Amino acid sequence: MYPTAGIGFKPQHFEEAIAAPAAGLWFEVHAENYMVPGGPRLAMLEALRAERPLSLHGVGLSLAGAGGLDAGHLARLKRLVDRAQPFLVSEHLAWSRVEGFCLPDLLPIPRTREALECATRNIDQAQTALGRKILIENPTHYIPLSGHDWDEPDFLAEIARRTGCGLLIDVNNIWVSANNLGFCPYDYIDALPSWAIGEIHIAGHRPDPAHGPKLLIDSHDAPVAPPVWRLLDRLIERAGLVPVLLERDGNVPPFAELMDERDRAAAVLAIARKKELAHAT
Amino acid sequence: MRPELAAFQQSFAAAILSGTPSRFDRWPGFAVYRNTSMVAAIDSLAASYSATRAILGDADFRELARAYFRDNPPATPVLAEYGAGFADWLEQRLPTDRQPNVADVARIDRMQTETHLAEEPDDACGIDAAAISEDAWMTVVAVLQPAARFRWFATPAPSVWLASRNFATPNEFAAARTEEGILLTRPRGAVEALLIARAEHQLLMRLQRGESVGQAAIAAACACPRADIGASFKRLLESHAIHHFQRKEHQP
Repeated sequence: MYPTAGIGFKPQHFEEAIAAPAAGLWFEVHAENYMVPGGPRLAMLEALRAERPLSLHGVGLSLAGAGGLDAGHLARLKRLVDRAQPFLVSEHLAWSRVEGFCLPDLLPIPRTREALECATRNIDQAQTALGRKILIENPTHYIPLSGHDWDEPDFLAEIARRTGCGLLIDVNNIWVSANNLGFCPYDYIDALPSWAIGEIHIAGHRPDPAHGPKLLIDSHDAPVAPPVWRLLDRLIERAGLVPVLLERDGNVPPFAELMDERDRAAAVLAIARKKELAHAT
Repeated sequence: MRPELAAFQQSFAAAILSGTPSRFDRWPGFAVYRNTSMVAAIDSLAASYSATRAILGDADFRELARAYFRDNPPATPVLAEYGAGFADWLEQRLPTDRQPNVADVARIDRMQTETHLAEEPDDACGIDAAAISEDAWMTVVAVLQPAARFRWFATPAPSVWLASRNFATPNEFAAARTEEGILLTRPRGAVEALLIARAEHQLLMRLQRGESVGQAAIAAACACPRADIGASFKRLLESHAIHHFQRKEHQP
């Protein structure tokens, strides 16, 4: 089965997830939630991967961390990858670990030469340890850091060129960041290296309660917004048939409701496939 | 090359952990980073320490969790492991006259997480208990389930914890000041809890140390002369705390 549109897996949807008949359906899990010695979580993961393609999405490697990677955490990720045999492994262009502790978030960097060398070194180390290519996700931005030597699409392209990694492009992150920092999301998408894109994320966002729509939050607690669907269309036009994942982490609706939203993404991919076939003949 | 990235990340992290305004706060969006880290850590503690939260109330719990996060940010991105020291921290933090059981309840919450996430037992099936003759128990050891956790408390925290698990309201948590023990197991994928007597705790402790079943029974009988050790042992068997029996290895 070729993975088309997938859903971020929620344990409360386990029964429906493994029984869902949709063609191309796949699931993604946050790797750190399954780095446990045993118990029902791992049993659920085993059952899920037996039925559907699985992607592991890490949130804790701290690939942009100046202090380098935590070898212990990388080894745990390697064990999980070996166990789950995912068709994709992804992480973030972000950092979370500093001075021996970890902040549970994906924190930003100034895109400097030093940051580029740091990220490429860490990604090289991760890919070598895992023995496979990983995808790197573009972060969400809430503050206009200064001192960048690269625009983000060029920075991501340079990392992909240097390390051979792929890119996971989160179009909701692009929309939220464009709103918060004041750039054109379509220009951003057009500047991305389409050859490197291996996965796309879509999700919902909401305005900050204090600052309103001037500051959007990548909250993953609402349906995908109309402008994000339009960005997805534009990105699929450029990147072609790339697996798309619907993320939902808050106000999680019934599985059927998520499937309706996921089916819309599958339809976008189906149209792109038709165009690709027509173009080929 | 300017080694500025590490300095930037140190100051950014310090600003997130600090409760006071930093140079990053000139941007309204910085609060998003501060809140996301804080809320993720607090939610993780709230999920792991549900009985403790029920006793303290959500607002007080979150206030304490916020302070704990600032003092003890996670050492690993695996948040299931976060908060291993929360009970000890609470014991230092809470006034002794307030909720004397709270730190012990937090310890049981932690035991529950450990039981829930413990590794699976190996495939060893050991020897059939029914085939062990009475005098052979001195040479047989019991291997406990990896998920089994037990502890004896100087407070009635086990009863309080169980009451919380049964959704008792906070004013029902007042219990007699007695010592109690608790055993947590995971027989069918879900955590089960059992109040245990002193003799049962003695047995578990000694079995875990690798003493033979016979030696453990004699020691438990000496420590608790009025206890029915046979009945205690049967109760442990029924609790699924014991994975299998095996012959004790000869020690030169």
